Amino acid sequence: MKYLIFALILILLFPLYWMIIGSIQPSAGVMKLPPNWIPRNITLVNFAYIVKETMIFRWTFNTIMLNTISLCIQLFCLVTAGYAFAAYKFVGKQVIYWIFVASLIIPWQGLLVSRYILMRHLYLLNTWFAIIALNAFAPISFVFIRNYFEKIPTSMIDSARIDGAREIRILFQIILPQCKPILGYLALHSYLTAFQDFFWPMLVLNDKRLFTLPLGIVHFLKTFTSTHGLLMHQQLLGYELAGGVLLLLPAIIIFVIFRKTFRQQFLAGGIKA
Amino acid sequence: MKTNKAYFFLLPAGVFFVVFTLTPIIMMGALSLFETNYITSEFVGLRNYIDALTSPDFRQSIVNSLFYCVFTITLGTFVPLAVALTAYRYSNAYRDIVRFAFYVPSLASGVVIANAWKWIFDCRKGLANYLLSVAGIEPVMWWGHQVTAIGIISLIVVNLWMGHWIILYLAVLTTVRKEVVDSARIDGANWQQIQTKILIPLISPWVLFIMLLEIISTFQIWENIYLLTSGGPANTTATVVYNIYETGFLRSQYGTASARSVILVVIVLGLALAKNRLEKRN
Repeated sequence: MKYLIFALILILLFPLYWMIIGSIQPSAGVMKLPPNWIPRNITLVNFAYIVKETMIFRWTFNTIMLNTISLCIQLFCLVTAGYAFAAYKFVGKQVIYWIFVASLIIPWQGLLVSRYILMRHLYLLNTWFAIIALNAFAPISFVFIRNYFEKIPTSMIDSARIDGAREIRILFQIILPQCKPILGYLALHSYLTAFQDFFWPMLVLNDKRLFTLPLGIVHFLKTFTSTHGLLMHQQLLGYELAGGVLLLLPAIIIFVIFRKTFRQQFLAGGIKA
Repeated sequence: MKTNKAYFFLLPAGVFFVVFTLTPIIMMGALSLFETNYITSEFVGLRNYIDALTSPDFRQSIVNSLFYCVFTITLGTFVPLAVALTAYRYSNAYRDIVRFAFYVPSLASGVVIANAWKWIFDCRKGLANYLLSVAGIEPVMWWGHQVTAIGIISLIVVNLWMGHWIILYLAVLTTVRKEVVDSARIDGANWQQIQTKILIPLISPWVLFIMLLEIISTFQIWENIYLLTSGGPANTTATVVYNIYETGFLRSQYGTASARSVILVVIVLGLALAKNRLEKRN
């Protein structure tokens, strides 16, 4: 059984290895059968072509920029709403919470069409705001935050109030510092997914200059396939593999920088949202 | 405390929620009653629903999704279970390696993994066919048959999640007290018995939970179909969400697509309610 699992790991990880070594060989080398199991004639020609033909740096910058903006808005909305639930009793509290949770089980793909039409009516198509707006408030993250806030003793909030602290100050100076781990976790995952998702950005963005990295690479590969695909089958292979590697890079960088956080997640047995 | 301040704090989240989640939900219901494209819009009542339930391509997409489920459930639920049960038996170091190795693919996105697998199963120059030819087997048109295409896409999708489920299973398994397993051993139970009598009963609610999650996410596979098969050959690999994408965005039939979205939501809602009930029981 032990060795069977190692075999399974090898099979599942092999495509990634194959992609990486394929991307650094000239296309003819990748297509060769029997294949080179170890890369030969290492070259960056595939990457050079993508860098030359596309706005890859701009797209990377866009992805980071776009996610930073939407993350700030998202965290602001989450923290304020979380505070409302933690520090107050108000009419409709249960009902509002119930509505948030109920909306969780509606698959977002089901809302694609109506959201798209809504964006068109609001003249938000082909703007970043169409993406930011959907990220701004995620009910799933709210459930996380609320559970987290509930652990903070209300006596702490009450005593701050008795000392005369204003509400905004309580939120930012007393509550927020205690939430760093969960906010960090949300931030980390938002950057990871920003480098993965392309479905919604693809639907709402037309202007190449606004693309995110995954959307840009998918778009480049799809266009290349439809224009030169048949004639330049070999080159296409190299570019597809290189494109995959370029998309993998940000995730690896994030993973390496924040490996401690990931490690904690392993130990806690947590799963991403 | 003065309660009106609470509403002030709820405002930012509330605005986004009402405008970009609640409104689209209502719009979806409303749009599904209209025959709408870019220019015209006409009230048709429930005709879109009747069309959806009778249209061969939508029905096919539901059947396809169920077909995907067969693969995603075996690969996504039971394989991780077997891996976790084995890893549980061995040392911490081995467990760490397994956890990490299965986790790596989930760092990569669907696009990355799809690109990586696509060429391995290329019918002319792919590695898979090469290996078959070495073994003396005729090359297979991997993307040209429903079974192989769905199998490979399921594998790619599941690959992204396997690591999470293994981590989850292992976390549940480590809650079993060591003494329980040890005393069972002293009483003469072999590993097979410990597995079937102690570990599997403990973990089975989670298995069911993950199974439901897999079914829910299977109906929504889209990305890999878009990248790999575009729903072909002859619509046999399209899932429900891919079908909605086609009707809504490639054919601009918003009304029809909305009615289909409502049906998707109803299906997923039913599954999700079952899942929530399980969660409460755990």
